[in-house]
Amino acid sequence: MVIQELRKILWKRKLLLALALVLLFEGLLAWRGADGIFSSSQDKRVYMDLLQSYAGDLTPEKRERLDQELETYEKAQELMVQAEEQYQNGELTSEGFDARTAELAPYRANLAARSDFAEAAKYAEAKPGRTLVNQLAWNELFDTDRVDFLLSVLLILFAILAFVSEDETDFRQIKQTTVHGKKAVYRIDAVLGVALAVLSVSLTSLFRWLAAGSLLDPGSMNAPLDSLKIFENSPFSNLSLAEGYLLATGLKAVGYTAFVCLCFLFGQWFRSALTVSLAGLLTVLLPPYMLKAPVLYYCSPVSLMLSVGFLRGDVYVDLGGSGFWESRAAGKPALWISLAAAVILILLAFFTLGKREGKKR
Amino acid sequence: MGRLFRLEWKKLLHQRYLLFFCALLLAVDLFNIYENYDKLLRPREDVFTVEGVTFSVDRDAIVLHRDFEGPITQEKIDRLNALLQKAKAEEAQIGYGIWREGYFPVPGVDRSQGERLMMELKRLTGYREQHIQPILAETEKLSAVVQDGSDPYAARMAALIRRQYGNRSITEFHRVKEFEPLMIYKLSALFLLLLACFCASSLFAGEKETGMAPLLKAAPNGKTRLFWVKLAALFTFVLALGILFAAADYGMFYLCRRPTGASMPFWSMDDFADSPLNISILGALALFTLYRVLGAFALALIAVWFSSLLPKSFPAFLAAVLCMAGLMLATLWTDGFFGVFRYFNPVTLLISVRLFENLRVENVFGYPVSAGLLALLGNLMLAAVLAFTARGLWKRRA
Repeated sequence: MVIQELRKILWKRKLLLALALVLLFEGLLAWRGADGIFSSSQDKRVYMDLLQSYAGDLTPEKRERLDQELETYEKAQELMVQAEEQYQNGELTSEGFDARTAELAPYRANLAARSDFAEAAKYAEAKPGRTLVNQLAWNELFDTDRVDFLLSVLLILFAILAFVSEDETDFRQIKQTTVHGKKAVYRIDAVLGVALAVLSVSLTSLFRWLAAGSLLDPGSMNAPLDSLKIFENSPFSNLSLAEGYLLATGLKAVGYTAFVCLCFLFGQWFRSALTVSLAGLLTVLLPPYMLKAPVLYYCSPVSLMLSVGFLRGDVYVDLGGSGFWESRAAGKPALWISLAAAVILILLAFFTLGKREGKKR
Repeated sequence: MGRLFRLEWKKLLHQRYLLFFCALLLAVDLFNIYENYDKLLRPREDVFTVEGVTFSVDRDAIVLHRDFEGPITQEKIDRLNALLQKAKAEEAQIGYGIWREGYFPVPGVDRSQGERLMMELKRLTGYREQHIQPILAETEKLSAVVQDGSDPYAARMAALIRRQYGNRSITEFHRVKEFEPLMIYKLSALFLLLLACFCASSLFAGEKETGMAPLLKAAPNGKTRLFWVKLAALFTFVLALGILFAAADYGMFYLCRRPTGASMPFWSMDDFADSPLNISILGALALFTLYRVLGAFALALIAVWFSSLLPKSFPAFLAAVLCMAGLMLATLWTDGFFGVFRYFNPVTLLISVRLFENLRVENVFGYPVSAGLLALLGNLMLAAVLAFTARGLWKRRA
């Protein structure tokens, strides 16, 4: 029966093609994201060289060397600013300015990469126990601050093909007269939907990991979560970065599972593919606009789709140029509530599917 | 024709759950405005407190502004100066509080609001010197160079700038700054678009799903007239929804921010000081609503196109939504204004305010033509192409 259902949904209704396209696009996006971390290959080389020299725990010897290097870099920056001011005030001729620029050029090459590294180093130095990690690559890996639109569309599509299309072709009545047509088939479809959600989330996370993997220092996997600036005030600071990524992926998988179950329930209530599509899309699109009321949002099961919010915090406190994330609503209690809500939703979907006759269209 | 139109409207409104979704999205839209721009509706005790110090909210600005609304006179400026001096003296005894966006006054001493008001008054009185005179000076230079008639485009451009900017000056103060967030508010446009697509995708595919398509096509008006009537019904529905959303947005913004001076010129707002639009703020709101409706309708025609092509409504809806998501991403990634593409991208009509921020013109056969007008014409052409090809698909496909 499982094979028949799989064949019906994946092959006959061409969901396999949609799945392949979505995964291909996700792979491309992951690769594009990892590729776009540095503005040039030179920047990448400079940043990675610097990181290799200082990666890991900052020993006193490393710290001293790092301080010296940062001092040279900052001094060059200051001298350049001074030169610019002098040139603007007419205290320096254009030849003098060019000579000063050429003199400082070696210290100012790949400014963006050096500046990013200096920021990462300063952050690691600020608190004992933090490890110097590739902030840019880890940020890219955890950059899941939005609901994956394509994945959501794929799951909506699955819910429609599995539960609604039979209503629309009036096959439901025939199906319900068969031996397994009332419960078993619906549960198999639900299990397949859950498996699809978990599989697609795992694969997209794996793609991101593979794409950014070459930029990650193996030693940084065990670094504490707060080694990454976005997790400065994380309520999960006892986890390592790798564990944090796994937890984020797990929560995301639960979130998408809850979402697909919600779409099953929409299918059961609305009995119309068009309405289910709109309701599913609204479930994905609306929550970000309710972020200003984060308690409402972070206690809902679909908030797990933005799993990083729970680890990082939900409110960015802007201090003009810099800032930090703070957990106001997305703390551990909200996580437990949303997990409980997700489990209730999944169980509700499993135990009510196929039971309600509902109004005929 | 009229009867057909009425029946199509009835069919649209009777679409399952349409009214429910309209009400839901309208409620979410209003809730979003309330949550983002709510400061005046919240109870007084809701003002924020940091380290034991309570900070004033925008509500105080209304009280302060009320005394200064209307013509800007020297007497008012002197009075404000005196108030500021007094506040400064009192404040020195109490000290500053720090909030994350900078320095805010301590309660009871409203220097921050007063200083903002003073800056606004100075901006308004100096509007002509700061914004208009530099533009006119540049135009005069241009005119001097091209007065021999060697460059007709530059001469026409200079005349256009003089006509658009020549007589501008501001003499009155109103809380027009509070209209700025309303001008760039986009959520209701997204909702309008979704609802338009929801209706459009079942316009023809719905008939195929219920097996009515062959019967309709066999009817005397079924192939052509019915098609245009359906489109007209869709357009009027989108127009009605657009007006409803715009009115609701305006009402909620009014309750939240209490703006005044809707009849002031559009360019009296700081963010749009360089706009070429010589109409009132209310007129600009109406214009942007119209642009938004036309943009949503042009994008809904993509759903109509898929609806004529595909046998079912939901693939038509999903295909249209994916196309729109692609168009929106392309608009975001290319900043929406990428070469000629911007004039054939209906998303630019949804955020049309950006077309009128500055004097954006194109040289069309030696005549300077506004980007706003070009975007409108280009997208209407695109809409016409979509509509005619959709009609072809409806006529041909079984």
